[in-house]
Amino acid sequence: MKESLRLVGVMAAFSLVAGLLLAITHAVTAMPIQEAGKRGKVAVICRALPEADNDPLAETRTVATNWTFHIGRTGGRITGLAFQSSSTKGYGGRIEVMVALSPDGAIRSVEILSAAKETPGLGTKVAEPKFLDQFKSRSARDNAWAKVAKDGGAIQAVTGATISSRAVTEAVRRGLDVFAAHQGDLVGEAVPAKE
Amino acid sequence: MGFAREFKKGLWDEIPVFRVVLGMCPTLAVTTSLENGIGMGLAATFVLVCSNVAVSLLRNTIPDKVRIPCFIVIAATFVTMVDLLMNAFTHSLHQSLGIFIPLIVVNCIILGRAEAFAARNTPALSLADGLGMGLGFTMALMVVAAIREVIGNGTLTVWGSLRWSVPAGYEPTLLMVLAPGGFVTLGCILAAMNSVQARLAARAGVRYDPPQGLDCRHCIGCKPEP
Repeated sequence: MKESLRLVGVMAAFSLVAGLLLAITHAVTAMPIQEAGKRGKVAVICRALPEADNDPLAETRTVATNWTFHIGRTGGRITGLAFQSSSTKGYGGRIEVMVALSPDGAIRSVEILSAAKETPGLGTKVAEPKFLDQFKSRSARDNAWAKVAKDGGAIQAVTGATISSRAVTEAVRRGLDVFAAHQGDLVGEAVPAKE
Repeated sequence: MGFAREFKKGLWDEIPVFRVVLGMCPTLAVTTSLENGIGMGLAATFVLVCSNVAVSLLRNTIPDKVRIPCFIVIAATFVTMVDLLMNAFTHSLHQSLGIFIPLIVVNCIILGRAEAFAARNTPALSLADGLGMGLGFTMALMVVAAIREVIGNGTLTVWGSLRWSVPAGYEPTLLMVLAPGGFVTLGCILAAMNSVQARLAARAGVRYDPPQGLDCRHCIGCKPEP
């Protein structure tokens, strides 16, 4: 009994010290981690909406409960929108994309934020311009095109990576559907920028 | 003297991946690019050095019956600290290593060195052992990763200081950056190491035991260092 109590005591002391060390490390790194994450996001949005002179990271509108659109303005007028979308149908799980639109709903750019679990050299090629440039200037309004060619759409899948290509296309299409349904709320009103 | 010897043995005689055949999981999983190999190796080295020193300092405090849980708590604490620090200061590397940083906890090298070395030796020697083993592990990862990156991806990059790609016209062999490439590379390197070490042993006129996986004869998990 006495022996077990001693063992429990030692283990408890170990855990306590470990917990303390971790608490200190967490306190030191919490801010840098948050900033690193934010820096990453700022860079992505700046690439998506390069001409915006407001802060698209701060100015957002949320529609359909959880779709957040970042709004880019030039001289107060809305000149672009960007949204993040994802698909769970990638070959290795989740694929995330950032899509930039002009206010009339034409796609300006698509960027892959994460496709790390796709097959290296095959699925990861969906992040290359050769594939992504196919989305450029296509319209959100009529998005029958937004399928890979095999499924009757206009997007040529990356050779050997139909599943990854399909997932990227699906992620883009889901966002476009939301945009098309809420275009009025998102860009219709001529409210001047708050900031 | 002792310090240098303990340091040096991890770099060649008992190099973790190629000689003792420990730490296979990260060796096969993260060595698709040289950067990942270096990052993983250095993170593991940091944990190994810290845990070795901590275990050694506490070796008379830790009751024998609960030593394994204590070692794991020590290793897990340092791993979590590395995880947080890397996330904060080397964000993109942290993203590409992903789950393999937390998994350093169960890297057999950490627990193996704690049990086989640090629990019986002074902090200074344990530091040397951890440093040697860690750098040996890093070197091994770098070799495997460099081979796989060159053949499988046609490039060799180290954070801006080195950007090299094979001459145009070479079609990268995808297989090498996929899982089978890891096994193939590792197998070839192990064979080469055995051949070299057998020859060295023959020249020195001593008997040579090749590593035969993790059987009792060669596992250092429960056997004191000779």
